[in-house]
Amino acid sequence: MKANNRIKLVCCLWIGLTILILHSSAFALPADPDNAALLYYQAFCVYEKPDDSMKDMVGDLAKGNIEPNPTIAKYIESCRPAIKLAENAGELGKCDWGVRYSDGLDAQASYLAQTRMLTYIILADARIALSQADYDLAIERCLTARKLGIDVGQDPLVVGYLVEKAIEKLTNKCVQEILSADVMDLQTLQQLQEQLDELDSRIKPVEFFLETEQEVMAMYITPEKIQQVLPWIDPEEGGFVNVPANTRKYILDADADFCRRNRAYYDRYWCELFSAFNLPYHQAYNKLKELDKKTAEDYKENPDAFIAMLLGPAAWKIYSNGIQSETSSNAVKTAIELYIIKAQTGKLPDTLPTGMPKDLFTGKDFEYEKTTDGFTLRCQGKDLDKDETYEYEFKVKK
Amino acid sequence: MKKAKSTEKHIKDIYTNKLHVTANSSLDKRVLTNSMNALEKLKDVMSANPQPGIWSTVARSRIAQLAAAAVIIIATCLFFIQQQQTREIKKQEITQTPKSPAELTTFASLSFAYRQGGMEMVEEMCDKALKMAGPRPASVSMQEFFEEINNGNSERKEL
Repeated sequence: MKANNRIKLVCCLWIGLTILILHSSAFALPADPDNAALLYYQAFCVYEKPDDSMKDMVGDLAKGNIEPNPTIAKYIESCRPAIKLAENAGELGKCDWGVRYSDGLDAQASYLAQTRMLTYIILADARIALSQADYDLAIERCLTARKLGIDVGQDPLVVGYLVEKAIEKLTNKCVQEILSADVMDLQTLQQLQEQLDELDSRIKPVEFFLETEQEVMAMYITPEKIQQVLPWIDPEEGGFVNVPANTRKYILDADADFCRRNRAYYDRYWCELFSAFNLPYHQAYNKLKELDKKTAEDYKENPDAFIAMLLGPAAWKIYSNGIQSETSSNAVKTAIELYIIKAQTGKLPDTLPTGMPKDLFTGKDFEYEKTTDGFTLRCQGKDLDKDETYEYEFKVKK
Repeated sequence: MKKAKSTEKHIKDIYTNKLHVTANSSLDKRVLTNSMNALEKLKDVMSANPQPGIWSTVARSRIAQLAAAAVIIIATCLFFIQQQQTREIKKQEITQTPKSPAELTTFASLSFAYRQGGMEMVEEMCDKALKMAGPRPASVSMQEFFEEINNGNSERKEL
């Protein structure tokens, strides 16, 4: 009897467990997407596409060129679902935009165009929040924009890298203004510092993007494929115009030997290019610029330099752009550190503490100067591409 | 014909002594005065209706007419050639304009745009792509949406 009861009990438990499992799985929700790009793509679909004048206004507001007004505020309000999706996307650590790199030059990167507009919408919302003294929301929006930029930089496209850097600069400008309101308490400042440090760990170096550029372009150094480049570069086929006069002839006459010799030159060109990134900014910039000039001069007498000259990236410009954005981020991080000191001690320090993020144009600390209404962080070296020395002003409450 | 006959008769009369003129100084003077008056009148008429100048004479010449015709023909040809070239340039501009937003945002479009004009050109391409995608209709409220659906249903019922 006892044995029978035990069997009955086990059977009942087994059936109960099975019903429980079936029941729970039947009502379980499917998992949310773990790829941020899917949410960003949804965000691109749901915001109301603005007309030209609204687009300009939103862009100007995001850049801080104009003040918020009710018309923009109403439009931004209609974009709320898109902002929410971007916010959710930023919480995910993974972002794969689904670019088909095997398509080579024809690979689609339309998300880059949409990303710019979405960034403007998010930062315009941040500036509206700032104008309403809602500093927490303003910072939250800035972080969402920053995450969007970093997510764009998860795919190894050079143009993606440039868009990421453009978003980084825009966001830093907005954070700079929020910090200048000098209303954040110690805890909020420390949290912001931690969040920015965490985001920095996801940023890819410029080499990551250039390696893909090298590989994609190299796909076309064969007699069969080189002609596919023509529509993009030859004015006769509707392409871009600044190419040497005999470009078309070289491409149409390209044989296996020509491509082999060009490929060898192209690989050497890229080796030299990558080696420049290990140098300090000024040397790296000059080396990259010199490499470009040398290739253009070589090409006049040596047809092997043709493809490197034609398909090589404007590396010095890309590099300088990256350094400019990263330096602005370092200035913001240094400023947060100074605001933390002020929150702790009640006043700004007289000198910059040690171990601060650097001015990447020189690799040195920023030049720190206390002003009547705050402080300035000044780069000690020039942006050689734009012939400009940057300085970042921050205000404090008296 | 009548005029010719009368002229013939007049000349006959002169030579058959029907003309009786005695030459003297007063006759000479009268003839001279009449001639001078006639000359003065002619001058007035000529100044009122000027005779064709050198340009008219040149214009009437056969070589000048041929040259003018040649100039007109050449000018017409040049005009048509120029028109053709303009059309070709326009055609080239059209082919340079990608057909879809997707073409503006390929790896190649954006990469070469950056090489050509830096970030400004990339941004321009992105703007163009968004513009070509076109503005989406303004959002509708749920109420408007249901009204639209209900209208559609009633129209279908009527059909």
